Amino acid sequence: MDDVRAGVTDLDRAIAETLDVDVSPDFLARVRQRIANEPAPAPFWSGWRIALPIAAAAAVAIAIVGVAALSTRGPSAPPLLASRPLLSGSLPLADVRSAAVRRAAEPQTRSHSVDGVTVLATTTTEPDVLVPREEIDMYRRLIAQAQSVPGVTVVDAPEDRVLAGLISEITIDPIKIELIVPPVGGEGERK
Amino acid sequence: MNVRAWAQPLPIVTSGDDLERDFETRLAESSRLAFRVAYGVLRHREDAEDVAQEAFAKAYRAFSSLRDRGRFRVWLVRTTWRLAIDRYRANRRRAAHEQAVEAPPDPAVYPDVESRDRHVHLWAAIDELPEPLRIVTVLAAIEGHDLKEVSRLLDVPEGTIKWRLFTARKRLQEKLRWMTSEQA
Repeated sequence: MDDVRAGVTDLDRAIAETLDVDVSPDFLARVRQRIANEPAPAPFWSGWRIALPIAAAAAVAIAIVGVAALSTRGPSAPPLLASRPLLSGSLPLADVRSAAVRRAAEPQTRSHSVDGVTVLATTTTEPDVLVPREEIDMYRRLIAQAQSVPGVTVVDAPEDRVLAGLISEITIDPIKIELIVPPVGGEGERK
Repeated sequence: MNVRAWAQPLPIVTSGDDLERDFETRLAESSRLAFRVAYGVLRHREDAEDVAQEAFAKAYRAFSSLRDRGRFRVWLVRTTWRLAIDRYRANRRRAAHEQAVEAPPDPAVYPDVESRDRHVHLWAAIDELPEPLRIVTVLAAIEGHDLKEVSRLLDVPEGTIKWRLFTARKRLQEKLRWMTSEQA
């Protein structure tokens, strides 16, 4: 055990002796000389002094780009047909929508009491259509341009008829092809 | 030198002049430590001074962003150690490339052959230690550092330092015994 301790002590002493070397007297002067050539260390807030104007400039640039992008898009086309609630029972249309979309479009009946009389209010809301907004805008622009062409008349279904349910379901009868019979009689007369 | 004095944090200063003054104080009190850490790796005075100088230049550049100035010496020891290891590896690569033989120890320091051989064997054994054991061995041998101070300088628990030092010494003894017996 004593041998081990003696060995450790010798070892430590040997290492310490090897490392017991003093720095040159001119070392500090050389370090100072080198540091003198370095730019002065900036205080800790100097980083913020640079970063803040950069951040502000970036924010202004982003705002300018955003405004420019909005202005180049031009005035948005006026809505041609405003979405309107559909009363239940009107316009039986072929329903090809998915079940989830159909469920969302189901009329929701709410009842509330007014002066003791229960009123059933039925509202129908159109479900959100999963069509890209750009595509919708594109179609709107197309329709607006088509309307602005002179000589073109766009006929929309009269709203009062739609509401009153006057327009019934379109049914197409089977086409009957009749035999062509040569006309009898004078010109212009037709069977 | 009172080795505990450096652990006391200096007051936090902000202006450029105060920063310069603060750094000058740190430089004066830590120059020998940085040099000896570098010398512990390189065992070459000029190289060690170059590395210590580089470490101080680096410290100067980063000084303003060093939040806890009380940890300056920790930072300096680590930086110096890393720079010294880099230099040591570069020197070895260059030596291998040039097929040069490593410079023998200074005959003025080791007058007799026996002490010179001992020195060569000792440092060959230290160089073969894994880095965590090696730095502990060097730091414990300089500036009269005890376990607590080495632990503080490396930011490693004291128990870990104790274990590393014990392992390093054991390995060195074994290696030196083997080297000496082989030489004999």
